[in-house]
Amino acid sequence: MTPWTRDPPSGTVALQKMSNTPPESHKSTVVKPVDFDSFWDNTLTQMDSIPMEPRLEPVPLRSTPEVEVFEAHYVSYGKLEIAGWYARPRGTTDPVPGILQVPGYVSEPAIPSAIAALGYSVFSAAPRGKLRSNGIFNPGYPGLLVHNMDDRDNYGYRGFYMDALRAFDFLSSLPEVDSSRIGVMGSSQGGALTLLVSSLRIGSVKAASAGAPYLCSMMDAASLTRSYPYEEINDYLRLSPERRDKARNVINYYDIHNFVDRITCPIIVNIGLKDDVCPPETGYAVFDAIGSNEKQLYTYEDCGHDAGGGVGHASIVMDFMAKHLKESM
Amino acid sequence: MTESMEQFDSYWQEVSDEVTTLSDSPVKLEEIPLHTNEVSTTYSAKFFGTGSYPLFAYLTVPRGKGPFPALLQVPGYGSVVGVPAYERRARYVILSLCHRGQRLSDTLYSAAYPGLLTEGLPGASTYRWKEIAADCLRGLDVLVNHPEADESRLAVAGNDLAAITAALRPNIDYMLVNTLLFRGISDRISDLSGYPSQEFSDYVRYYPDHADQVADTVAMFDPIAFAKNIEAESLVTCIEGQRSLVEPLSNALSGKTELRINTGRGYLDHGYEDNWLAERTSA
Repeated sequence: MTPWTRDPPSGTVALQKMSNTPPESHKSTVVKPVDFDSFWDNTLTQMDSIPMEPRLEPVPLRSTPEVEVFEAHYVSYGKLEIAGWYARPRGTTDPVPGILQVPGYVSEPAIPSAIAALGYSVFSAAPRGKLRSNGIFNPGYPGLLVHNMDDRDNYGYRGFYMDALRAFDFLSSLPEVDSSRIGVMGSSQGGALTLLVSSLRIGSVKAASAGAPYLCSMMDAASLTRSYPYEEINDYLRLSPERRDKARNVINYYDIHNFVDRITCPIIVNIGLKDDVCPPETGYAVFDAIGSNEKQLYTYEDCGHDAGGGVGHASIVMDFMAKHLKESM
Repeated sequence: MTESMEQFDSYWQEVSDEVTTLSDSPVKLEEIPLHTNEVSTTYSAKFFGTGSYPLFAYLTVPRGKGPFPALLQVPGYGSVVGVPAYERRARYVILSLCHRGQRLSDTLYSAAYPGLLTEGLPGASTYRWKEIAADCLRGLDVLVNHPEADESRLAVAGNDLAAITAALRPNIDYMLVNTLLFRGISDRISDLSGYPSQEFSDYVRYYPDHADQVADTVAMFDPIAFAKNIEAESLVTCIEGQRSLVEPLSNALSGKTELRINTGRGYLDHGYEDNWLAERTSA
């Protein structure tokens, strides 16, 4: 096992394992299964056979003179009902650009009023397992990352990924949304889901912003950090070391690194160079693998999983979205 | 003493006393092998809070010979409370509490997000955060009774609930406070943007007749109202944009206090907090 550093004099246990190579030099060990595309084509076909049954219910308590808020529901993979928050600017007659906001691992999706107030129709999805979408599937936190991790067809993220993808379809289907101008954004797990949706809705996603992307080079990440959620993998394999190869094989089907060569839309990615949650090695690697010709990486010194969020990156994201979703009007 | 001060003191004395009556109530510890590792043993801790509410907490104990400095991590605002971080687990006996309504303490009731901040308003007697604060006091009492916890090196970390706990449990030696939810809220109750604090403005916009009572209730939870009773040595951190709200709290605390304005770079800011606590507890 790689030794751990200790920083004198306080005895601080370092957040990351010692590495002799700079993070940008890391080569992902992810392998793309030969039937990767057919596995996901089959999954998409299964989901497409299920009617979405979208519903919007006004939430007057959360609505303001500027923004209307709705609780949203749709049916997703496995016929599970998924919830979310939808917010749109009041007083618009023409279709407006849309933004899909995808959530982090443990956080509940926020009501996206602030972004809606900027003139976007915004959907903030709560994939299965999140509150309001956890009646049937509820692996908990920790739990989701290793839920059925040795079973390719029933790994927890199969349905979860489809919920995020269908959230994009839900937003696209709304009549007040200009479906030719929809962006996707999120950080951490939301960064991963942003990359996923951009990979599977090529030509439909107009712009994407992925922060501190999670679920990229997952087994590498687990070996680079002792922070949760990746620590779930270390916990799991400590108790069940004989499952390592099988788990790695399953994860290869879900590793976001294997999706992103399909991405064609303009995209920005931001990472913290001291991120102990989603190690920067995996962020560099997935950025390199992104297929888009119009991509930009923002790296932040001395930032952890905040990845620049405390030093102004949010403004960069919103400027990027405005450029691609509004200036083309 | 003014009427409002008397009301404040009696309100919180009642909470504290009710929790104290639970001191002989059993605590069930069970190792969680999945989350036990080379630096610490992790347990599920199950015990009752006020109203016979069943609560869950992660309790982690460092490997090696104790006792160890003890740390109560009060719950943040969200449904999930995680297993404590690796580097802290190596140093402290940690109780990481799930208050009522959060996952793992949700057998009787599940909190809504958004929604929890205004649950039970407008009155102070029905406000859900009274019970949540009581859960934190109960968590602290469970922690200090653990045989590996060194009560002479007892710390609490987190949001406003850390300050409330430190005020009502004077055996706390060190307090680390950040991400405040209630500081200065009552004066701005109608004008808050951005969740979670926007929950308050949503509420008074929807129930305008309740605005004054809500402001009074929320003021009962403002950490500055507890400051004179907090004698723990404290580190209070915030971003520059919150300095005007947080500096008065820092100045009002009775114990030795440092106010740190964060850089916005998480590795530096979290590292500063961790080192501050480790230096004081010799962890």
